[in-house]
Parts: sequence; structure tokens; C-alpha cells
Amino acid sequence: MDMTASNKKKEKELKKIQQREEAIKRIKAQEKLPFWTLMKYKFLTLYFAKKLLWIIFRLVLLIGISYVILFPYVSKISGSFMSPQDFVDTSVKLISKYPTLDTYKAIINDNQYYKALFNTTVLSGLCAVSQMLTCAIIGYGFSKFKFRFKGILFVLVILTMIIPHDTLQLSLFMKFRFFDIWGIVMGVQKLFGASATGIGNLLNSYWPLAILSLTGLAFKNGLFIYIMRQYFNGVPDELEEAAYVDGAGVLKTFVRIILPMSVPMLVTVFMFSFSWQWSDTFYTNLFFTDTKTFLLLPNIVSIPSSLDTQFAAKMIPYEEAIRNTCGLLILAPIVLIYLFAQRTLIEGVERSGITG
Amino acid sequence: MGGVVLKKVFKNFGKTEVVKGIDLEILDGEFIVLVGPSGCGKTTTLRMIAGLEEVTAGNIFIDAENVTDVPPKDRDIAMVFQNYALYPHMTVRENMEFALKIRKVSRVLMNERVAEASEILGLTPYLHRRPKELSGGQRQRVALGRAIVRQPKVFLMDEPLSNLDAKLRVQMRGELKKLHEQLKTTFIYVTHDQVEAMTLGTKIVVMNDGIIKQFDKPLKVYEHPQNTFVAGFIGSPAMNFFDGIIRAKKDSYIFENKDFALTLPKELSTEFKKVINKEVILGIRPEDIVDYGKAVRKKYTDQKITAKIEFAELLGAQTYIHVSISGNFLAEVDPGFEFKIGQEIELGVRLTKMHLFEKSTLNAII
Repeated sequence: MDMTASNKKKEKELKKIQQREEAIKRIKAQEKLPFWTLMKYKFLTLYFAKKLLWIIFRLVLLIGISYVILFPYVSKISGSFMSPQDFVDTSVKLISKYPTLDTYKAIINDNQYYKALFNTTVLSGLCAVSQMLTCAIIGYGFSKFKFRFKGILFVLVILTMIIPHDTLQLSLFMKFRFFDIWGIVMGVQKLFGASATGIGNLLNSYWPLAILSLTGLAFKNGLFIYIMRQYFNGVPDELEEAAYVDGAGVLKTFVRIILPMSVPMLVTVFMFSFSWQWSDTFYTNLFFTDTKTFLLLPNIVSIPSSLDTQFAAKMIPYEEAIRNTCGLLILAPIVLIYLFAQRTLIEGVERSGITG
Repeated sequence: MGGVVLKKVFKNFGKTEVVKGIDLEILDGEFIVLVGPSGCGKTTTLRMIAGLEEVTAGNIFIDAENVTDVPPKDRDIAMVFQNYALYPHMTVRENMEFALKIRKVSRVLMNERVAEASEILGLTPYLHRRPKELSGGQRQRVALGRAIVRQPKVFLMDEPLSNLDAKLRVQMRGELKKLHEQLKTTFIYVTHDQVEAMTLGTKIVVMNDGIIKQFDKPLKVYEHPQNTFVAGFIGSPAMNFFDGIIRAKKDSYIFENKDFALTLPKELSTEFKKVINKEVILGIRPEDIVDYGKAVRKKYTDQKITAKIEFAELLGAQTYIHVSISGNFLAEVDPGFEFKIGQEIELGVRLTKMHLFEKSTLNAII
């Protein structure tokens, strides 16, 4: 009995294996199998179960992380479309019952959004372009040329990254309030008996930021110089030597060979510089004391007069939502630019070996 | 076109002397190959000619003009680098045009030159491509093309073939040779590969330790090496060296060491007289040590050396056997020759092709 039973079992197993092999053959031959057989061999396996488990695990993880990161944005975006009634209505959580664009309209009109946008774009653009070029030149110098005190000078560059710029607030302010170049202008003025004021007050003009950008001293420029130097270190010397032999001097080599091939790095530096300048309040508050003439994007965060924010005690969430909407409007252009520059930016960041 | 002259050229990197007083006169239209082991200063010499390296002392003349302190851009030379150094953001055409654009050559002439060069190098179908999209051999050609369009006085090449695979290297070697015949310009070529040196150069410069060991036509260098370094460096497999003493015996001369003695050919007696009873080094190339049967058949010699076979390299066209007495040396036998490892073998030495060096100076006597 035992023998026959075990034999039968073996036969059964054999049959199973044969069936399976046949099925695999037919699958390989791309024949059409009965639906259920196909499903069985496809999904009733340990391999598939493992895969499924992993997919579920990944999904849970992704949704969790996305929730943490994205929820603030989602709530802010949805809040920006809400009208005052929504904030009184306790049934409204995320999706507005009385959607409106009034908040946007009010901010854009009353807070002079377009004027601020224009000013900020011009300022950030000019700063970013000049910082990009200056840092490229300085980085190239540090990377490819031998000169005295190179090590010490580079330590100074690193120092500008380490020292928190808040500590320089007062001296920066004084420097540009009573601007002069080593007292030379003042000396000349004294010599000719004029009132000795130096070059004078540069506040409330583009000058302070322009001077800082063009000398590679603006916000985070130490980092940009470092990034560019690292990148140029990776550029083989033979390329420049080939250009020299081809008849180009140092300047021509830099402009016609080195700069065009560093576009991804330049875009990276440009984008960092642009977006940091865009959202900067430290330097702009320091140098642009008169917000009326120099209205920049961070200045538009206030409650527009046309919106009804009476009953202040109840309206705190509404005011909060309005401020958030201001924030969204400030961020929107940058997000748009990032969308377009994303590919080059990622390439550049990868090449520099520096994250964020 | 122009000749290149180096007069007592020295180069130091900090305290290390890399090039120690080179005198070299290269005539217009010659194909000169600088060859030597790595670190011998050949690349530095080339870079000094290009102006990419400052000269510590001495003078360099191109076309009879002292260019020692002239920057590379004004020397009218073209250089091909080992890693090609193509401008990655430019197409093949732009790469070749770059030097001409810098020199403000007219568009018509530029097109003409590029067309001509790309025709010679077979690059016409690739003119719109970027270097990234080309194979190693094609990149090499672009680098050459960039040099050709310039029509410079001198072409400088720094191991241009070393990044190519063996087959392509042989092919490019032929093309370089052809190119030189077409252009008839001065070529200065650096390599560590002595096969390249022998096949390409109209003259070769063998360098070691920053000095020129020999400067002559390839075959002359091969047949009459001036010192043991050149003798050992040029030729593959390398020459065999035996230490020993020359002795006079009756009316003939004998080379003798502790393992064997060879009666030297009479034709060269006058040379042997100078070094009687002095320590010398006998140099014989592997192809001049053959099995005794062949040596007798070909009337190379009637003297035998007996040695033990250590191992053999069968290359197909010939077989090299490593044998030992007085240390290991290498002999060449015909591929059909039968032998067993460990067996004693009788070898014949073709003494008319021998080289003799003074032990004290390592310079050649014959």
C-alpha cells in the first residue's frame, strides 16, 4: 500500500512538473494558454509574492514621506483658494466650499505684486549673472594657475563660507552707508577743499549688491568659487594646452573653450545664486531701507486692504492663509524656472559632487 | 615648414633634473621619433619645444628663430596629445576650424582646408558630430586633422597612438607615415614603443635619464647601438649581454667567461686589440643565436655553446627559447625545431653580428 501510495505521489509530482514544463514551453512559444493557467503560473509563485510585498512596502513608505513633505504645500495651496466663509465653516478642512480667487487678486493688485516681481527678477538676474561669471573666473584662477599665497587666499575663500554673515551686518551697513575706496576719494576731496564725504551713501541702490557680486563676496559666493574650482580641477590641462598651441591666449581659451564646456556647472551656480537672492531678506533689508522705491517680493507679505479681515479674533486662520498665499506667489516663478532648468541643474550638481 | 634646433637645453622640476643638456638638430621635413622608457624626459622635451614647459637653461630654435621665450600660441606649431584633447562642446568641423578662426583665416580658405584635411583622414562623414559620438580611432583622426589644417611649421605628437587597440595602432601608424610623405613637414613624435620608433622615424632619438643616448637612422641605431642602453632598449626581444674578457691567443682573439669561450672573427681584429685583457660586455641579439645545425648550414659559425633550455615562447613565425648559462639568455630557433624543456641544446652564435661594449663606460667598441 505504502509503495503504491508513494508511487502515486511521485507520479503526481512528475505529472505536475511535466505540466509546468509544458506550460513554460507554450509560453515561450507564445501560444495562447487558458486564462486561469496563465494566471496561476504568473501569480501563484513565491517570487511574485516577494515582489508584491516589496511593492506594497515601497508604496507605504513613499506615501508616508510624501505626506510629510507635500501636505504643508497642499494645505497652503488649498487655503489660498478659500474665502472667509470657509474659515468659519467647521466642515471645511482641505477642500473649499466657497472657492474664490479674491485672495490672489487682492495681493496682486493691492500689494503691487508685479512691481515687486519685476524688481526682484532684475535684481536676482543681475546678481546671479555677475556672481556666476565672477565665481567662474576666480575658480578658474584657483584651479589652473600657480601664484603666491594661493593656499592662504583659498583659506580666505573658505572663511567667507564659514563666518555667518549676520556677524557682518553692522560693518556691511556702515561700509555702504559711507562708501569709499580705502579713503582715496575722501583724500582727494580734502585735497581740493571740498566737503570730505567719500563716494557717499550707496544704500537704496543696486550698487552694494553689484559690488559684492562682482567681487565674489555676495551671499554663498565662497561655495560657488569652491564648486567651480572643483569642476575646473576635473578639466584636463591638455584641453587648455591644445588651445594655447592652436593660437589662443589665456583669455580666449577661457572664453571660447572653458566657459562653453562648463555650461551645466554655470547653470547650477546661476540657479543657486538666483534662487537664494530671490528669497533673501538679509541683504535686501540691509541695503534697501526704503521699500517704497525698492519694492521686492519679500516686502509684499502683508494683508491687502481690500480683503475683509474684520473680526480679527476669528480671522487669524484667514490672515494666515493670506500670508501663505503671498508666499506661494513669491515661490511660483522660482518653481517654474526650476522645472525648465532641472535637467542641466541635476547634471551640474552631480558633476560638482556637492548636494544642495 | 622648418627645422628645430635644441641647444644645451635643461629642465628642472624643483630640484629634480629631468632634462640634462640636450643638443639636437632636426632638419626640415624629418620625422623624428623621441623614444625611451617612461620618465626619461622625452615628453618634457617635446613640451618644451611646444612652449608648454619653460626651459630652465638653453635655447630652442624653430626655423632658425629663437623661440625659447615665445608663448606657444606664437610658435606656429601643432600638437597632438595622448588623450586627443578635443574640445568636447564643438563638432568635428568646429574643432578643426578653431585654430584657423583664432588666426582670422577667411571662411573660404577655412572650408577648403577643412575639406582637404577631412578628405585625407576620411573624416568627411563625421564633420557634424561631437567628439563624444566618435570612436577612439576617429577621435585620433580629428586630433590629427586639427593639426593638419593649421599647416604649421612643425607637428608635435605625444604618444598619439597609445590609447588605440593593437590593430588600429598598426593601421594609424601606416597612415601617419603616409601623411608625412604627403605633407613633407617636420614631425616630432614621442613614444615609448620602439616598434613605432623603428617604423615611423626617418631618424630616432633614444633617450634615457634626460640625456640623448643615440640619435641616428633607425636601422643604424639597431645595427650599431652606441651603448648598452640603446642596445638593450631597441629590438624586441632584447639583446643578450654576456660579461667576459677579450684575450689574445696565437693569431686570433677570444671572448672568454667562466662558462664558455668564443673565437672572435678575424675581420674585426683591429678593434679587439684595443681591449685586450679588459672586461667587456658581449651583446648578441636573439636572432643571431640559433641552433647549431642552422648555424652551420648558413655558415654563421663553427663554434658551439651548450646550454640548458629553461622554457620556450612559440610565436608561430619563430620560436624563442630561454636557455641558461651565465644567467639566462634568449635564442631564436625555427618553428619546426624539436626540443624538450630541460634538455641541453647546442647553439651557434653569428659572431659577425656581435656587439662589444666596454664594461667601464658601457659604450660600444664595435
